[in-house]
Amino acid sequence: MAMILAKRMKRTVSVILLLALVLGLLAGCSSTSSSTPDAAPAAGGSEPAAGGETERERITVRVFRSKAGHEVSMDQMEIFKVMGEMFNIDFEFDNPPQENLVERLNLVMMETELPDVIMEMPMTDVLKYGETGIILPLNDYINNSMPNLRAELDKRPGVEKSLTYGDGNIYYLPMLDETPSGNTPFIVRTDWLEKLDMERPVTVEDWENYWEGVKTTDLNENGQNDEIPFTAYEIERLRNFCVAWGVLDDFFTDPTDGGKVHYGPIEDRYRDALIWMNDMWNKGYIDQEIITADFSSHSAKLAQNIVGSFAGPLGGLLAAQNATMPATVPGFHVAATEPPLGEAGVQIHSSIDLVPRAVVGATITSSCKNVDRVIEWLDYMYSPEGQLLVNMGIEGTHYTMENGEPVFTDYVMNNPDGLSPKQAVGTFTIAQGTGMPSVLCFCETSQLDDAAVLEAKANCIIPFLETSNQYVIPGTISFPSEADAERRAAMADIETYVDEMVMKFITGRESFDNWDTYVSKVKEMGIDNVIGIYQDAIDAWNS
Amino acid sequence: MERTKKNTKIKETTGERVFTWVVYGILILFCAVIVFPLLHIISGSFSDPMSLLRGEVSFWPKGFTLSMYEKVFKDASIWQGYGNTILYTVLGTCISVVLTAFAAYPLSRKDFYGRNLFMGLFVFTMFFTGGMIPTFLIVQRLKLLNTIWAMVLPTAVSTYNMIIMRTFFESTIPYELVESASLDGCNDIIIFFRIVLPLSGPILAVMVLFYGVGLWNSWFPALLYLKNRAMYPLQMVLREVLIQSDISNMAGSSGDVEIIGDGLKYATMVVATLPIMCLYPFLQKYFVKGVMIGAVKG
Amino acid sequence: MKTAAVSQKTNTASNASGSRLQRTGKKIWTSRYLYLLLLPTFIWYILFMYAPLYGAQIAFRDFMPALGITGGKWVGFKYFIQFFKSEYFGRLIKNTLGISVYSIVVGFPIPVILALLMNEVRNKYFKKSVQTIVYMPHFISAVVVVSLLNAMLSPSNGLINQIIQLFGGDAIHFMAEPRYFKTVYVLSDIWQSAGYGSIVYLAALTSIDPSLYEAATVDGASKWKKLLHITLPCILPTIMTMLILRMGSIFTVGYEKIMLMYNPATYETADVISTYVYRRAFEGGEYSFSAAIGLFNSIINFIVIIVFNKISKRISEVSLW
Repeated sequence: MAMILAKRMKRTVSVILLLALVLGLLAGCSSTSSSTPDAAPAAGGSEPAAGGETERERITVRVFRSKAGHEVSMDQMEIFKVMGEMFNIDFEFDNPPQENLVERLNLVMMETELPDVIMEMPMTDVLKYGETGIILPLNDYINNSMPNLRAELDKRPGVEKSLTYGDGNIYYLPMLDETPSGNTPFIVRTDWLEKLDMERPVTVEDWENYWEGVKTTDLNENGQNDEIPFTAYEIERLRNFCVAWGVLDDFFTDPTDGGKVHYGPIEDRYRDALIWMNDMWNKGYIDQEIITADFSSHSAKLAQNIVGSFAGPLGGLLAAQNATMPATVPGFHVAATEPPLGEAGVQIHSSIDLVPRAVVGATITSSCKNVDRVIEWLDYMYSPEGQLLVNMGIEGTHYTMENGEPVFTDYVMNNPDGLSPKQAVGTFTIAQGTGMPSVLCFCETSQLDDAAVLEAKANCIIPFLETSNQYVIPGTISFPSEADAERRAAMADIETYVDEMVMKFITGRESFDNWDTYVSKVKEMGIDNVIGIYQDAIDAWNS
Repeated sequence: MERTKKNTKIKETTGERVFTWVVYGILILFCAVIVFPLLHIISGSFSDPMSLLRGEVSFWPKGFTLSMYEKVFKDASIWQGYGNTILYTVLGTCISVVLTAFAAYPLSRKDFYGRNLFMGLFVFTMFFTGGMIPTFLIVQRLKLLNTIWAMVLPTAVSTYNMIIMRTFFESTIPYELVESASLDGCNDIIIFFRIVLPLSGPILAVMVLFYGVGLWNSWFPALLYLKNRAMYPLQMVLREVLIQSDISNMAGSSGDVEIIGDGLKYATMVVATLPIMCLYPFLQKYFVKGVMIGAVKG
Repeated sequence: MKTAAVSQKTNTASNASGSRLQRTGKKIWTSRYLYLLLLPTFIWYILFMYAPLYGAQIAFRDFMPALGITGGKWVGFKYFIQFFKSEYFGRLIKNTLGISVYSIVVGFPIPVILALLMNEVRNKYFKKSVQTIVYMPHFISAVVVVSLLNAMLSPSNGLINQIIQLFGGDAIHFMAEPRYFKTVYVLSDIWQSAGYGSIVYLAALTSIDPSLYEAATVDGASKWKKLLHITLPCILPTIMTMLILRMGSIFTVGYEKIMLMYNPATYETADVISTYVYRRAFEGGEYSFSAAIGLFNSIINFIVIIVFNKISKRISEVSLW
């Protein structure tokens, strides 16, 4: 009881904190936009450009970036036409489909003439191309000719450090973010909770009670006992319940062990979690078909109104379910939950945006002949007007200013061609800024997210970011190339073995008596060495 | 053919009748097994996506709608893709069939000096290749990148098909025919065009089908060699339509509320394969014409 | 190219007598038009097959795309050894061979039988319809085939399990049971490709001289006898050629469909060499590792096809070269 009360308190506090945060950010956003006129002269670098345009030669800049499914091809995006006129640049895009990014990039890198700018290079490739001189170190440019980026970096302590590699160089221009959050929470049917007179589950006991309720009650009122307490589109979503035991389903830093790196699936705490999952499996609370599920079979199951809880991305599952299901199932509603709480006494959300968030925005290759002009253009995208352009599009067409706030027009929010808001944004700019050298503004994300998603972020993810950050290994850490090859070679086999065994433990095909044999086999396959590689990388990153 | 049919009809015994019924029975069963899943795909593509998700669609559309097709065809690049694919398929098939036949015929001639050497050279490449990147570098060096030739040349000859064609020539073109023609003063090239090709209807049809289907379905060369999106073939465009229903794109947090799922997948498949499927009935008549060979020989 | 062949032959025959050389020269001269015919295809092979072969060396190097083929440093047999020493080496070989042999034994005869059956059909329209129908599944992508499989075999509402339950059996979760994996894989493959595979045999069948059948009919042979003594021998070269070619890929099972079908519960019978390579390469572009395994695979396949070709030459006089 006391615990639940504490929980409630915590939640209230977190809501207040969040409100404060949101208000603060809104204020920040409006102050930038109101200061636009003053900021223009400050962005001095671009001023003479506009003035002396006629004297400046028109140049061609070749840009490589993949095309996401919800976007039109880049040569059709209006923001590039606008920027092209502004900086007297003809853009030439190499714009392969997103899922083939890696193959295409590897081939492009073998050509004698590289693209000038490569956006969205995989984080793991940056160092090796940097070391070989194929992409340029950017420190000097950032310090001397990119006043707008410099200003954004200064606003975010720690970002510059995370951008800087072991050799002291910065190889990429970051995509910065105003609102770090997370994704893929556990999701429950709130209308079913109401019928069962329960609260949203927090502890693992809550979860078990809820599942028992779902299993034993005809909640969908079809006269059949076909309710499935928990399912997911991959078994990893179930495995993720291990966070309640204070371990992650991957490598993580353990604050209870002085922040040392551990590999979750061989920890004793992970075994305890598996015992619980096996118990749930035997009780019939876990959908058997989770083993073979994929996203489409999972969606099919959800559409049948038989699933009590699941886990998944905020947009694709939470928002989409709430938008489509009530039409056929009156009263249908799903909501995210807090990370499950178990004997470890911590609540960890394992898939979080990393702070400081600074993923790859753009790199400049050695083939680039007009580095100064390219830098000038790229820096513009970090300027207040540039940010507005990249995030919101063109004023009047795609957004209007209301009370000093940019607000998307009906073209985005209520698209005449029936496009979703994200797709509509994708017709003129890069929606939600993936792989773009700019700042992803709260003004864009907040308008594209729907209410359930905002609620999930505010109540179920953001309050736990601080704890989670102690566990989750930052995605920006990089390995020296030799160690990286070793890590990959070892992990390919280890992961196969672990996946196979964990599945057997959960489904009861393997007895927990064999746990020690399993652990020693994983050790034999070289897990300690890989843990060491992670530890070194973390130490290097921290120093 | 007609004569054979009459003869058998007259002499059909009970055993033979049973035999015939068994043949028909097995074929009908086999076709049924094949047809039902296909029907599911077609009716799924015309059904309301939510009904399909709920598993209510079996072999007949439920909540008939063309929305999936609208979605596929809304994309203007689909039409461009169709045009490109037809161009690549027609040009590529011509080149491939010509190159394959030109090599298959000499290799089928037992008196061709160096036959085994060339055969060995060709078969070797079925097992040992340089892989994606070296091939890319050659295509680059030949200045074929971003041209139509990159779509048809690097994959023009399939040794597998060549061997099939060679086997056909070996087992169906009587050597006496070639011999008598060369005694009449025809050289081997004239023999090939005047005697061998006219007798090879069935195998040419097979080759057109194999190469045509391969080229129609190909997208990987486009990914490797094309930069200009206006040159993308249909399959490449459709793959992008499909990506939209992919989990990786759902991973965002915005309220992108579309659940499209299998319906779009099925519609895409119908759009992509229907035209090439229509090729088969046209080629089918050559499988019947092949029987004329006996007459020619007589 | 003609001269190249001449000089090569001359070299090997350098210590032979002049008359033999003359004979060789004469043979080449008689084949001159055939060489001319072969020339374009030969050039194609040199350009697109032999020129890129130098890239196979990345199996022995630490390859990195940006440095080019010859950029990475030599590492010898490092990647081969890594593969042989892998935890899963034995299992991968076993599964690859298992699936391959299963699909040859069960899957190879079916297109032949199908073609023979279709050949027996006298009704033109029935024949045409059957031909058109059976080749259609070829066009369905692996993704769709596997999602159909998942739906049909689902333990909760799949058609197959409903039939099993109708006869009082218990529902089987086929896709999660290691022992059913190979069967499901092979049977679905037959469903998809048997019709398309029969096209080659159909073409061979249509080229059989009808006078042979007429003579047999006059002799009073039954349909079965005609099938056995005329039809089969006539298409035997095609069957053998196809079989030799199929044997040449006995160590190869494509990764695409398996990747879609398997899951950790069925890894133990489903994981094959190509899926393993794919995972390794996918993990982060281990090109050299995949190239090494690819090379290993090719050598084994090459040996198998040479041996099998020899056997075939001896027993059926059909040979690829």
